[in-house]
Amino acid sequence: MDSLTVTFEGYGIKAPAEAGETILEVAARAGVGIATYCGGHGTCYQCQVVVTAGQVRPKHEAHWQQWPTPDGKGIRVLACQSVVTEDITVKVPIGSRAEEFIVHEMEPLKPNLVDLSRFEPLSPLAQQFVLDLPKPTLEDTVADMQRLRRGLLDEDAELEPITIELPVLRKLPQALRDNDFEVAIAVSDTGLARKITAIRPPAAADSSLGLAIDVGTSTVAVQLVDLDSGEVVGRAIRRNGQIAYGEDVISRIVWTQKGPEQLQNMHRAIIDTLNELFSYLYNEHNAAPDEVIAASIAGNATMINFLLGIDATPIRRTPHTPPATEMPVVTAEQLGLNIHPQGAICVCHPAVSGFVGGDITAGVVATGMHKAEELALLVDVGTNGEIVAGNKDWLMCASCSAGPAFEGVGVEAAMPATAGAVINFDYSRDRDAVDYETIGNQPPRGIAGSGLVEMIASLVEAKVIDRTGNMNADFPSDRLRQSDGELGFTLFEAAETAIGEPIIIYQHDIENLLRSKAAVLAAINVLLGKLDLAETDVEHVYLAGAFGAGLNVDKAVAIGLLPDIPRERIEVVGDTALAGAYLALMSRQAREQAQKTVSAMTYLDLSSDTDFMDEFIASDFIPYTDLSRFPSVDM
Amino acid sequence: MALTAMDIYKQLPKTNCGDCGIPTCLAFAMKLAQGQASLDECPHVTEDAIAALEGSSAPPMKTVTIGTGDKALDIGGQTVLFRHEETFRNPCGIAIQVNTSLSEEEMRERITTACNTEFDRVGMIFDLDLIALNDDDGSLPQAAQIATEVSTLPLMLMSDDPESMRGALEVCSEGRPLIYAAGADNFDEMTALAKEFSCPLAIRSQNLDELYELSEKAGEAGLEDLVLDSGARELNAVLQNQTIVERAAINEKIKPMGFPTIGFVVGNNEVEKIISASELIAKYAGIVVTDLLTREALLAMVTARLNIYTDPQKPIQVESGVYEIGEPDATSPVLITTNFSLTYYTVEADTSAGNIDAWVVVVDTDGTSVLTAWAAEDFTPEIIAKTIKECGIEEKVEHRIGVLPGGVAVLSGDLEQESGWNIVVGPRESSAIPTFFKTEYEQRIAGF
Amino acid sequence: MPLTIPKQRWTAEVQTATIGATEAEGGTRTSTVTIGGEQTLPFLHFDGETPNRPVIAMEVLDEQPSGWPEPLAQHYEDVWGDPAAWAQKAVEEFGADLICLRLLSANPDGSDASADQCAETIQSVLKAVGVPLIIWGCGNDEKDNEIMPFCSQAAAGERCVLGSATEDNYKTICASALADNQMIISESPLDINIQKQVNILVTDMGMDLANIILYQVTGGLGYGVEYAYSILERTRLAALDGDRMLQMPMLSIVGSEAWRVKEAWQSEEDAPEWGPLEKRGIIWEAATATLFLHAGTDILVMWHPEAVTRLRDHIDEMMSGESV
Repeated sequence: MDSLTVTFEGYGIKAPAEAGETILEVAARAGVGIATYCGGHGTCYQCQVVVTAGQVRPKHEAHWQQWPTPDGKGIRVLACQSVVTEDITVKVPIGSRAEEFIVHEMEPLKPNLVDLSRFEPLSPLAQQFVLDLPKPTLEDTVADMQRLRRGLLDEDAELEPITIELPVLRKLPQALRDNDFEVAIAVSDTGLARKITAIRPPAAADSSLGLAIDVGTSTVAVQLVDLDSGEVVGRAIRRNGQIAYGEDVISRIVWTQKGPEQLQNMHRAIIDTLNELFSYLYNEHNAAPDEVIAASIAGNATMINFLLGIDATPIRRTPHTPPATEMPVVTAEQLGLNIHPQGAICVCHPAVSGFVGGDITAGVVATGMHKAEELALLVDVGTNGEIVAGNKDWLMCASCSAGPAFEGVGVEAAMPATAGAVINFDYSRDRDAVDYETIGNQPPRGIAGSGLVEMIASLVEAKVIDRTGNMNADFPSDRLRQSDGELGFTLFEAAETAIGEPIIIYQHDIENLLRSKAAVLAAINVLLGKLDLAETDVEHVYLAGAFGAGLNVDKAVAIGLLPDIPRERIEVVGDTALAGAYLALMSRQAREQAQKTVSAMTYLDLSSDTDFMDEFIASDFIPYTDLSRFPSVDM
Repeated sequence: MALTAMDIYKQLPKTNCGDCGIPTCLAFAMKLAQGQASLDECPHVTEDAIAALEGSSAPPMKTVTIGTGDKALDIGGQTVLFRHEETFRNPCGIAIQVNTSLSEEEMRERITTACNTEFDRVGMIFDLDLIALNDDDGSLPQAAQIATEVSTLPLMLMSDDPESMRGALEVCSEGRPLIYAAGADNFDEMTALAKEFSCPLAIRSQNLDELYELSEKAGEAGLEDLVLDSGARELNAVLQNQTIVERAAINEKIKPMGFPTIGFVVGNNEVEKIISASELIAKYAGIVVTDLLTREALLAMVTARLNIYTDPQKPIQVESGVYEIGEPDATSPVLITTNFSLTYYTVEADTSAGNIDAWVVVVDTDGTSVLTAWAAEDFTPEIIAKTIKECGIEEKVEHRIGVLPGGVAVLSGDLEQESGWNIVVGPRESSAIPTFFKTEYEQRIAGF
Repeated sequence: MPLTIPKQRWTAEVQTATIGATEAEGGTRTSTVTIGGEQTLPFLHFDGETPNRPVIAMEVLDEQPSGWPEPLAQHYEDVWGDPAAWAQKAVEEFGADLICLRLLSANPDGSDASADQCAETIQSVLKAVGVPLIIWGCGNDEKDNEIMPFCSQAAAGERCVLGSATEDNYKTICASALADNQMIISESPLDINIQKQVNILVTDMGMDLANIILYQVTGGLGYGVEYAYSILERTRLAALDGDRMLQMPMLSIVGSEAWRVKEAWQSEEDAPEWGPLEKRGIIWEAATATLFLHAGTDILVMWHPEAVTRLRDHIDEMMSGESV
C-alpha cells in the first residue's frame, strides 16, 4: 500500500499514513492528541480539525459534513470521518487538542512533607545487601538458598521471615558461582514477609534506587530516589496517557466497559506513561532500570485498579465498592514496568473507599495531621476533590467530583504548570491591561491552576464577570467578544503569546472553573457541618493538588475555593500523594501508619447527600451565597 | 438540645473495632445523632456513656396505633416541625365522619363508599383510614355493630356518653377503635373504658392548660396511647394550638404533649372545607376528620397529604414516556432526557421559551439528573434505546433523529447502534437549547 | 399546673413593602398594598405580630388565553382581548387587591407586540383600575429586555412590581426599576441559594433590598407543591433568623400552576373517577393556595373568582383571631 504523509501543523510531526485511515487514527498513532468522546462515530463533534492542504475523502458519504474556516483557509472537518487518500496538512485547533503528553521536570516537594526524620529508623520498601558468603566446603554443605538466608540474617536478624522468588532462585546457583559468592542482594518488604527479589554482581549494583509515584487522573508524577540515603535523584511529571479515554474516572470506567481489550488498553496507557517517565529519569540521571528495585505508588482507587489491570466497574455502580482497597505487592515483570524485573511494586497506601484512594491516605501521612492535636483540613484538588478533616483522635473524609478544570483539562486557555504557563494574573480595568508572570518568564502559552484562581478573582473585581460567573456583555473593553456564539474575554492577544493565537477565556470555561471550586467548597462545608464544626475551628489547611506554591491563598479565599479562614493557617503543599509515596518508599513506619489511617478514617458519601447539593448551589457563586460567611472578602 | 455527633463520639470507645457493623466510632456516632442507630449496637459502650447518652435518644412523640391488621393506622411519631429537616413520619389519617342518626341503609352505603375510595397516583394506591362514627342520637352501639360488619377500615367512636361508648366497645373493641373523647366531665369513666378495652383514647379539652392536665392525668393512670384535641374549632385557634402542642412535644419534650393530635374539618361548603383540610394536613394534625365524601374533595386531600408527607430529599420523578412541547408534528425534533422532574421541567421550560415544537422522550433513571444517571449506569445506550423503541415515539415521527444531552455525548455512538436512530449531540446546558435549535440543529441533521 | 407556651425567639422580622403609589406619592393609584412585617410564621399570633394580611393578586392576560377549561373560561370570556376591562372586572367584581398583568402578546413567536403597544396596554390598565400593578413580560428574555424599559417608563412613579429578575437576566429590569422607582420580583427555580444569589446580584446593581419581592418558581398540588412549600417555609425561617438576603415578602403563582395540573382540567369523560370538572379546578386552586399561604407567602396570584373569594375569607379568619 502507498505510504502517505499527514503533517500536523504546530506539532512538527509528519506522520506516516496508509490510504483509507482516518485522520483520527493517524493522529492517535502519531501521538497527536485529538479529543474525542464518541470513539470516532462522528457524533460528538469534538475532533474537529482544519485540513489546510490536500483533500480528504468522507468515511460515510451520508454523514459527511464540512464547514468553512473563519479565515477562509482550508476546511473544517471531523477527524474521525475524514479518510486520508493523499498527503495532507492538518491543523488541530486548541479546542480539539487533547493535552500534550510531554514529560516535564518537576519542582521539588515541600521539605516539611518529606521530612524522613519523622519516620526513623528508615526501612525502605527494598534494600540492597552486599554479601561475601563463605563458599561451600565439604564441612559446610548448606544449600545455596539457605546459605544466602544465613548470610542475610547475619547482616540483619530482623529480616526474618524471609522468602525468595522462584525466578531469583533459578538464577541463584549460577549467580553465586559466577561471582565467587560475593553478591548484591535486593530484599523487599511485602508487609508480612521479606522477599529476596534480585541477585547481581556487586559491581553492577553500586547504587540501589527506588521510585515514588503518584498516579493522578490527569497527571502522573514520579521521583527517582536513592534508597540508601533517601535523596531524591530526579523528578518528572507528565499527563496521564489515559486522558485519551476520558477526562475523569467515570468516563474511563465507561470506556473500559466496552470490552476486555479496552481495559487492557487502559492498563497499557498508564504503564506506557510510567515507562516514559522512567526513561526520562534514567536518561537524565544516568540510571539503569536494573538499579531500580522498588516502586511505591499512590493513586485513587480507579487509577490503581487500572494500573494493576483490574476491572474498576464496581466503583461506578452504587454503592461504589472498589474491587480491593489493599493491593498485593507485585513485581515489575507482572506489570511490564521498566525497572528490575523482580523489583517490588507496592501500592503502599490502601484506599478508604471507591472514591477516597491511597493518594489521600498518603497525603494524610505526609502532612502528619493524623498525629497532631490541632484540627486540620487536607484539601486535595485534583480531577476529584478530596477533603480530609481531623486530628490525632479522628479523621473524616469525603470526595467530590471537582472536574479537571484547575488541572488545565477542559478549559481551553489552561495548561499545566510548565514553561510558559501564567502563574500570576491581574487585570486592570482602568488600564485595560493584564499584569502577569509566567513560568520561565516566557511568553504565555496558557494559564496554570494558580493563574486561573487569580484570573477569576481579578475578573470579578473588575466586573468583567458577576458573582455567578456571567460575563457582563456591556463591559467596556474590546477584549470582550462574541465568538462561536459565546462570549469570550481575550486575556492575551495573539501577538503576545507563544502559540501565535490569542488566549481567550470563554463563558463556559468560567462556569467550569466555578463548578470545580464549588464542589470543593461544598465538600468542605458539608464535612465540617456534619460534625458541627465552623471554619474558624480549623487550625490548619493543607491545600494540595493542582496548585503550585505560587498560589495566592488570599485569592483562593476571595473566589471561595476555600472557606474564609485566616490566611496564615493555609499552607499550599503541592503533591501530598507523591510525598506520601516517597515516605512509604523509605519507611516501614510510614507504610504502617497508612494502614492505621485507613481503619481510623470515616468516609462520608456525598453522592447521595442532599446537604451537598444545597451547598454546591450555594458555593457556585463568588465567593459564596452567604456573604456573612466570608467577612474578610470585600468586593 | 440534641447531642452532636462529636458529643456522642467522645463517649464511645474510639477503637474503630467495627463490631457494631459500622467501620468507625465516628460514623457510628453520626448515625446515633441522626437517630439511625441505637447505642446498644455497640458491645463495648460503658455504663457512664449509656447514662450520658440515653436521655437524648427518647422519641419526642408517641406513635399511636388505631385498628388491627393490614388496615391498622399508625399516627404521630413526628421528630421535626418542618418537613425539609426530615421526612414527616406517619402520614395523617383521614377519617370519614358517619353520623349514627343515618338510616341503616345510608350508613352502610356511606361506610362502604369510604372504604372503597381509593386513588391511583404515580403507580401507588392511596386510600382513606378511619370511619368516625359520630353518636348524634345515642345509637352508637348499634352503629358500631353495623360498622363492624361493613367497614374494612378501623373505627373511631365519637361520643361523650360513657354508657354509649361502653356499648359500642363491647361490640367492636377487638378492632382497637379510637375512643373519642375523654373530657373534664367524663374523664374517669372514659379512661377506665380505655383501660378495660385496651383501646387508644382521645382527650378533648376546653383549652391548652386543661389538655396538659388531662393528658398528664391519663398518663398517671397508665394510659400510653393518647390522641390530643385542644377543643379549638376556629381555624385560627386550631393552627395556633396545633403548633403549640407540636412545639411543646418536639422542641421542649414536654411529655404530656408528646402525642399525635386530631383535627376537624370545618366550613360551609366544599371549597371552605378543602381549605380547612389543607391547613390541618400541612400543620401537624395526626388525624383529619371530615364529612366530605366526594371524589374531587378526597382526591385533593389525599394528594395534599401525599405531597406534605413525601421524603423531601427524594427526587420527584416524571413518568417515563413521550411528552409534547408546543404542538409537535411528525417532523418535529425529538429530545432525550431523564425523568428527574427538575431536569425534565428545565428542558420543557427552555424548549418552550425558545418556541420550539418538540417531542421529549423521558427515560426512567429513578429520578436522577442526566450526569448522575450516566455515572450510575442508569442512562445507558441500551436503556435509552429500549425507551425509544417502547415509548411510541417511532409512531409519532417520520424521522429517526434524536437529540442527546451534550453532557453524555460519549453515549452517542453506541446509542446510534443500539437504537438505529441518528443521534445529534445537543448542548450541555438546557439553557442553550433555544440557540442550539436556531443556529445548529438544521445544519447537523442536513446529512442524515 | 398550666402549660408553658413554647414561644420561639426569632431575631428578625420580614421586611415591610408597600406596592403602588398614590397621587401624594407621585403615582395615580387610589389604593396601595402593604405586605410583610411578620414577626413569626404565618398567623401564629401567640408568637409575634402579623401586622399586614397576605393579599390576593388576580392575573390579567393581554391576549386571549388558549385551552382554558370551561369552569374558568366562563368568568373571563367577555373580557378576553381587553386587558383594561379584564382588570376592571377582577377588581370590581372579584375584589382583587392587585392586578398581575402578563404581556404575553409581546412573544416574538406569537403576536410579537411592540414595546410601544405593551406600554399602551399598561397605561390602559392603569387608567382602568386604581389598585397597584405587578407587570410581567412574555417570558422570552431577549424580548422582555426590549420591552421592559418602555413598560417601566409607561408606569413611571406608580411603584409597580416588575417581573422578573433571574440569575441570568437581571440587568435590564434592575436598570428600569431604578430609573422609574419600581419594585422588582427576584425569581429563582425552587432553590433558596439561587434566590439569595439573585438578590445579591441585584443589590450589586444598586437595587434596594426594600424594593424586592421574592418568587420561587413553583408547582401546583400534586406536581411539586411540596418543594415550593418547603422552600417558602425555609425562606421565611431564614428571614426570621436574620438572613437579610431573604427577608423580603414572598409571592406565589397559584392560578396558572394549579390549573396546569391534569386533575384540574381533564374532562369527566377521560377521568370519571375524579368527580365533576366544574368543582375540581376550583378545589385544586384553593388547596394549592392554602398550602402556600401557610408556608408563608404574602401575595397569592390567582385565577378563579370562587377560589379567590374563599381564600380571602380564609385570610380574614386567620387574621381576625386572637392570640390563644
